[in-house]
Amino acid sequence: MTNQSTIKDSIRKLHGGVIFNKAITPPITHYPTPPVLNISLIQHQGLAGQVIVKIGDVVLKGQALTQSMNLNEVPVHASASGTVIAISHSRITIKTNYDKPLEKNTYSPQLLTADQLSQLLHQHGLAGLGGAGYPTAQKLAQLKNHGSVLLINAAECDPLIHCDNALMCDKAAHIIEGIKIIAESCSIERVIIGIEDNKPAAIKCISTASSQAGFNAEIITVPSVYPSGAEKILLKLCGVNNKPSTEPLAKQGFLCLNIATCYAAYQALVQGIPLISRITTIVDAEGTIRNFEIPIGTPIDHIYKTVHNTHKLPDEKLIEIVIGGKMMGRQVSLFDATIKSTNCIVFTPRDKKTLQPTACIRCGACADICPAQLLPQQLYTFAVNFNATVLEQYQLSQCVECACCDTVCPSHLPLTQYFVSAKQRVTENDLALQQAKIARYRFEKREKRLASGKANARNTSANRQTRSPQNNESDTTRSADAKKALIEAALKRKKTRRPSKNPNGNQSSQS
Amino acid sequence: MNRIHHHKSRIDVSQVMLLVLIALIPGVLIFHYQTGWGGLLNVCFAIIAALCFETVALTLRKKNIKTGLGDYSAIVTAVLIALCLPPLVPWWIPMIAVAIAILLAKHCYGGLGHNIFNPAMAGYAVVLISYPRELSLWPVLPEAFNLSLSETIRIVFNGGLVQNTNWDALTGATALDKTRDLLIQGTVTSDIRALTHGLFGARHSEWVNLAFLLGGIYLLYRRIISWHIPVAIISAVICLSTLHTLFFANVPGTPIFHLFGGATMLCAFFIATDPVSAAASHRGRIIYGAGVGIFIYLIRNFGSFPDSIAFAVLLMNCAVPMIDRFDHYMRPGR
Repeated sequence: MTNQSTIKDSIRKLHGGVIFNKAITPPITHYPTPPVLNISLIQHQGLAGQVIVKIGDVVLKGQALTQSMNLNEVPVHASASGTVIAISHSRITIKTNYDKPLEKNTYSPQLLTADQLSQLLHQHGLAGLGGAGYPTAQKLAQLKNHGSVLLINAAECDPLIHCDNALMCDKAAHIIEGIKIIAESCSIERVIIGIEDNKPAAIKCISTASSQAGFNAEIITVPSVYPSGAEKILLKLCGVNNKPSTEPLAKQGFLCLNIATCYAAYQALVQGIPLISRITTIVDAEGTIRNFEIPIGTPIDHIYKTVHNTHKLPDEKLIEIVIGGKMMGRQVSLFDATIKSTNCIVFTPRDKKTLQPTACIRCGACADICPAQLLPQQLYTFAVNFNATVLEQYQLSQCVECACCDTVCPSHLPLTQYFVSAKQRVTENDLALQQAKIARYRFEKREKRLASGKANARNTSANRQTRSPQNNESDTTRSADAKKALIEAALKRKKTRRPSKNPNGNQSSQS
Repeated sequence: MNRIHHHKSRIDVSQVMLLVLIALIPGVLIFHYQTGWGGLLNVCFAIIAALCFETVALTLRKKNIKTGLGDYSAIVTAVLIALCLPPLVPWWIPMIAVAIAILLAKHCYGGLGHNIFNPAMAGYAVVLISYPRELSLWPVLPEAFNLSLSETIRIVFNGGLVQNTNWDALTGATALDKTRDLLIQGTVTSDIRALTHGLFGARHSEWVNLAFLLGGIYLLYRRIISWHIPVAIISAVICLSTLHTLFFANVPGTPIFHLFGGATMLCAFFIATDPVSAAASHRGRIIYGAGVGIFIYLIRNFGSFPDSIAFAVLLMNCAVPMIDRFDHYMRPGR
């Protein structure tokens, strides 16, 4: 093995997809600390941790605001020093008054085990910075079979997102360091960095940095077609064979991390800085694209005022604020704030006319453009007339929700919306089925126990001709008494425990 | 989560239908040249009837009439039916065909996008079975186009060619009909070919087929239709007729005769490619197209109807749900 990184073209071609002309990437600009920060408690896929600050507390930059031992509940940190002025069920508001630099604790990352690494990343609040915001520590913990593939997602295919490209040009050495630590502590054999071929500067920076660090990474250039940056698509493009499966990729042995997450990991592990700021691309109403390093929790209205150089807030009926890019974005309001996964904020004048969806004519344009090679029109039919079995046959789970099909549909159907809700419904159904199965199992067990208990009671009480348990208790022989008391106690235990857990079980026992 | 649409879609349904109508123009012009005013009158009657019935159906179903008529799908159906009918049929025949197509085959199934059967072919099949005599009388070419417009209108409103016996001299049969008749009479194959073959395909209908081929290539170029269905139909017809001529004596039709005879090209590029009633995936479309081609050839040669596109398309329409459901077994990686 040579300690030399290699640059290769992707072997496979992307099926379908949309080609955009991407503008030139602007450099990263500093963003002023906003007067107020709204730090959301849930900035990832999962639940909120426990709040450990009170109203009126003075918090320092980088101080943890929530904590949890559960990897699913990623802690959040103060992005600037200030006073906590409000805590609601969804966010903590901090009035920033002075900027004290945070205390730095450095680690010796070479000595980390996989578990330690996962714990450290969790404590520093790492969640995926690519957009979905999956807890990074949980991803690492799910990666059971070590010695697998680490795929660094640097494709960034959305036409309006430029943050990763700017980061790669700026902080290539740090990124490589971060990747190196993760790869070494998880004992990963193969590291692939997937970059779109329209970013020659970033490719050069990354390859130079990895050569200098003596790090052996495969840099694969993928075609600059949207959505080459979707995890499953990128894996395919990089020539890694993954079978269609509903399991998370980490459980299949593929660790997919965004390049910005690797930089955040470097900051956390080497510099001791938790995830409190990120590079975000801002597209203002005139269409100018800028990259800012924005503190997490910055209110959108502050960003609007800063980038437009104004003190007036716009009418929300006239302007549309979209987070997450041109294709996979979702609308937010001025009163929201940035979170860890906010990679792009777009301010666009609102389109007046909305296109009315009409019936599907099964033209197949969606199937031609689908990068996952699914049949969206069939999926649409069975998502509307919901049928989980058929949806699974058509592999709904392989849909990456890239919204390519929406762009070509001649009937203007919001297909991706249907698929997202159908997916939710499938998960809900599965959960309900599983719970019903457990309930049934418990009920049957209980029935069996009751039946055997009754049989025992009948056997012993047959001699005494008594049925009532009170009577039984009052006059019994010594040996039978002990047995009965045991059964009685067990039954009582069951009865007291049952109603809280499973009301159905209680009902059926009465009948 | 509400997703946003920054994109205007490439093309919408009404544009698709409009491009199909544009692609039909050369075919309609040749049809008019060969059949005189009778053919054009059929087209007009069919379009008027289609607009009326579509309005009625949309009103009954409480749908927006403007968007319903605005997608031009009813007009496409009407033109396709009119191009299948012989000229100088009574005026009510296109009306009935269109009524069946729009009301029964389209709106009874839930309107555009939900019809199982191709509406145009369902309408045409009903009149073909109900009025075999009217539908098999074609004016002898090239005398037919000498007929004046007023004369044509008089015939059409007076029971068509069937009721006007003094026009017997003008009536004849299509090349496919003639082939069948001559074959029954026991004419030698070379004689049949001499009587029915034109310059390269079937006599007279070769030109209209050529025009439909051109229109179809335009649709392929504009990516309104995919190549799978036309290619599958054409190759199935070529394969079957080649095998038939190779292994059996006395087969009058050459492969090129079948391609440029009857309504093969109209079917391959305009009728079978109707996306609503065709299979969904590329694999499915090849199977569907091959099925249509096979049925076209089999019914033409061994069935009791001279041309067979309506039945071939309707039969394969029945099979589409099954083809779609079995598609996932044919997916790569399964």
